[in-house]
Amino acid sequence: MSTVLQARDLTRYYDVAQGFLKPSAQVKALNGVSFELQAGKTLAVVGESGCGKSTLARQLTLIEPPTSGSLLLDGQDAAKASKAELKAMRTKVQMVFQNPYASLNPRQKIGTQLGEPLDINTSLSASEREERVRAMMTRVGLRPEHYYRYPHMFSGGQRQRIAIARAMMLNPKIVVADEPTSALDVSIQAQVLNLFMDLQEEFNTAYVFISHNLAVVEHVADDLMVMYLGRAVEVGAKEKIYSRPLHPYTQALLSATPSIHPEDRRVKIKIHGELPSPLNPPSGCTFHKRCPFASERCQQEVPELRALDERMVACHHAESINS
Amino acid sequence: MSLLEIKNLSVEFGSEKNPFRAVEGLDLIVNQGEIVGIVGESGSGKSVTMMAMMGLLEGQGRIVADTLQFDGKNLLTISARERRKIVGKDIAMIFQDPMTSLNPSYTVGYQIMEVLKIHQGLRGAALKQRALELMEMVEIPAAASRLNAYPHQLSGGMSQRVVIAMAIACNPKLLIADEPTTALDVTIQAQIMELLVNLQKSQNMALIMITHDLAVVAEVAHKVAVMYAGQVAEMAKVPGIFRTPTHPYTEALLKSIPEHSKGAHRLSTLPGIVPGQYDRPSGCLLSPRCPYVQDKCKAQRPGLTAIDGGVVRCHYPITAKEA
Amino acid sequence: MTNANMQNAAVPAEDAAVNYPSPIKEFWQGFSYNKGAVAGLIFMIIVVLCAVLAPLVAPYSPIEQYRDHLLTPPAWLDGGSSAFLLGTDELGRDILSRLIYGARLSLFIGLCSVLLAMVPGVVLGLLAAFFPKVLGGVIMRVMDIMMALPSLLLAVAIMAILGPGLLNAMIAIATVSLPAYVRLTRASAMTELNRDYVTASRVSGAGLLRLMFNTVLPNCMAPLIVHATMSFSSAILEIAALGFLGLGVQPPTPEWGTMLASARDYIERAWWVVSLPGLTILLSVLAINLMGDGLRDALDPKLKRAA
Repeated sequence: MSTVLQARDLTRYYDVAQGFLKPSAQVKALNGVSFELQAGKTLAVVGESGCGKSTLARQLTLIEPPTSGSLLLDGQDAAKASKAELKAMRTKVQMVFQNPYASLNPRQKIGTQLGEPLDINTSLSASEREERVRAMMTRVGLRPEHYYRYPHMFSGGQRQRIAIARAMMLNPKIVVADEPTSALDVSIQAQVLNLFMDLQEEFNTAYVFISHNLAVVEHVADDLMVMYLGRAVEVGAKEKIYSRPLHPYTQALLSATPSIHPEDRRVKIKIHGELPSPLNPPSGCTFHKRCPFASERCQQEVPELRALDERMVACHHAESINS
Repeated sequence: MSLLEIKNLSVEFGSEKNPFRAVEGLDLIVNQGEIVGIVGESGSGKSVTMMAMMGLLEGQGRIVADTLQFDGKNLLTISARERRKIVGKDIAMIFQDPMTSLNPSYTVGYQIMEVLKIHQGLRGAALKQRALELMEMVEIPAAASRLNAYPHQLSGGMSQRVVIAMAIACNPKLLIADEPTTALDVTIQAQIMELLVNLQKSQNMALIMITHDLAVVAEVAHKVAVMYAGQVAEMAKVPGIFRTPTHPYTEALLKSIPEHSKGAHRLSTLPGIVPGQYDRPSGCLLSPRCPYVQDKCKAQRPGLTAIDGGVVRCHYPITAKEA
Repeated sequence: MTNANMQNAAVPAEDAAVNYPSPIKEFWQGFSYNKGAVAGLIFMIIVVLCAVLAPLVAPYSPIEQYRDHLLTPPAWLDGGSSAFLLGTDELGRDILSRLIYGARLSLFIGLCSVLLAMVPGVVLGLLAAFFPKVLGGVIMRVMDIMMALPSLLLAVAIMAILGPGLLNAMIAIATVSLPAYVRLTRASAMTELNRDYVTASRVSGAGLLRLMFNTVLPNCMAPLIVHATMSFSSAILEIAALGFLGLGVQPPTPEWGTMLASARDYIERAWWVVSLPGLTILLSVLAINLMGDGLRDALDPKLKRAA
């Protein structure tokens, strides 16, 4: 097993204008996130809106440089890479987006869009490109005859197949999937998830699977990272976390997920209030305002991730809550 | 007597010559104080049914029904004026996206008070008093100050609470919630669901919950109607319908949820997509996708047959033994 | 695994029966839905044909003066002659021939000034959208200043600096209509830039030029084409106005605006010398605007069904 992705203490701050003549404020969208990803494995990133999932995706796909921290792709440091090296590194990370209606260029034929990554990054001739595109279309369950069609002629599920095909064109090491099934119907979601799993098996691709749907995550993930307001609160193997979540936020998330069979339902943990604004996060543990177990210490001291029961958890009271 | 009774409702769009049947032969009975889930994929006619019932499709769709009765009144024959008295007062609706169902140009207080003015003729201090009361009923913290807030200043969860407050302002007998939690984060979703169910109990309303998420209705509903391509495929009591589904579509939907196939590498899927406007099969609508399809299914559309505690539209319903 | 593949591959087979119209056919369906637009298109096709085939269509040379037929009324009036269908002007030139030849120049000027404005306008607009912080600010402020000046006054001022003449007139008109293109391009490019497919293109390694012209620009074209059509007609009007002021095309070259200007002294004695070029301009502008409406209906994605 080789490590294809290694993030160390990734941070990303954004400046937000506060108004005329006021100093701009800083949003800590990503506040020190570290993880490792092995080839052929899936890391699921779970959290609610504003937790930094999408910012993380932008760092991993090298669209934006991190404010600090390092990102090692296939053993190579993105911060130290030259422009040419960076271009080569970009081909190793591809992305699948949430909304298949927005992620395809409406004015380009499917064949052209799928061929674009090859056109940019390889020196294949036009006919070789077309051949590869048609092969990939067949692979993801599209008819190669649809090469000359435009995106609006496809249903949502088919568009997501096209988007997946585009991500797989360069045979990347890592695919970052940002809520890839949340815009799809249940039965279509199952088809797309199966496609993801098949492709992973065939190409040994590593996935970073961003989602808020814990049922889907439980199906696809090997490892799990639960995020809250730019920080990881619990990181570890899926089985460990699902069978015994330690962080109160993970517990709340899991218990809030509805389930069909009464025997699968967890004891509902009520957490109150709204997600705080990332512009003005609470002091100490950012979750303390909604946490049923918060103490004075939580208001003052930021909990660090620490190893406990075969996973990492960032909570001062993890032991006492779960004993 | 049941609160809402729909028999053989059909809704057609398009020209007379080339009609598109969005809803076909739909039966639904909702009793007072009951929670009914309507589940289906996009385009299955869930929302159109409700819009037709409330007379919100005027001029667009042609509505035919044997019975369309609410609280003893025939909704097919009453005048537009009388209908306006019922819709919004006795029948209220909540939409999917709270951000677009509030008018961004007015404060939330103004919008709640507007409803109270029109339907209950409240004025002055009583009006404000009632608005505050409603805000507190939907558990909005610091209600008095939130009255003067504009929709964009509230989070998604808060906005949805305001929408609910407006919907229950006139003590409706029937509340229709169209995907009320789909646009919200998981923890907020749980809060809103709990609120809806509590309100339903305390006000003794009937609640129709339209959703594509089977798990949501499995937790709260008393009865579930599963819709496919404009028809009710199966309607039965909870939890029976989830334990022993009798329609192949219900079974397939349940199987395609990741929760169902825990530990499996692949999810079981229903191949193909929902038939569109022009490619509806002449026989059973599910016949091209159904794993148990027989010759009779391809030739003849099945009617609704009564089964234990519900109805099913299938020539060969799955018996408990097979499932 | 094989079994699974089969299942996946079988998925789209169902919809093979559904035939989608090609983009061109779809466009024509949307366009022909608007009757006025089709009428405008037919009228403009006739005008363009006349302009292209002017030497064949026109009965006389546009600059030849028939001294014994000064100010002949059109054929259907008393004293009119069937030799000069629309009459003659103050120098005895055939008005019909002048109008036909004039269409050449007027349409050419319209087209050129639209292109002269659109090409730099699109480039500046894209630059402003891609580099919003510094370059975008500078470009947009300059455009704001240009928009703050009355357009005709600005055109006259530019003409005063450059001197009268055909090319200079086109440059003046193009400069005046530039800000609208820049704003339009920037606005639609900014919305497109936030779309996922642009990010997807970035992730697959697309460079700046590819992103600008291959990915983003085609999706901004619909409003631009509509605006170009509309400004085509206003360019004809403006060149007519400049011609009327004596700054545009110099006589005896036939051009609709200049024709109007040089005939203004005869408006009481011979109304046709003034009215006929005026009517031609009016009809052409109307036709183009109707076409523009049709284009907007056919190209505006908001009006299309949400497929």
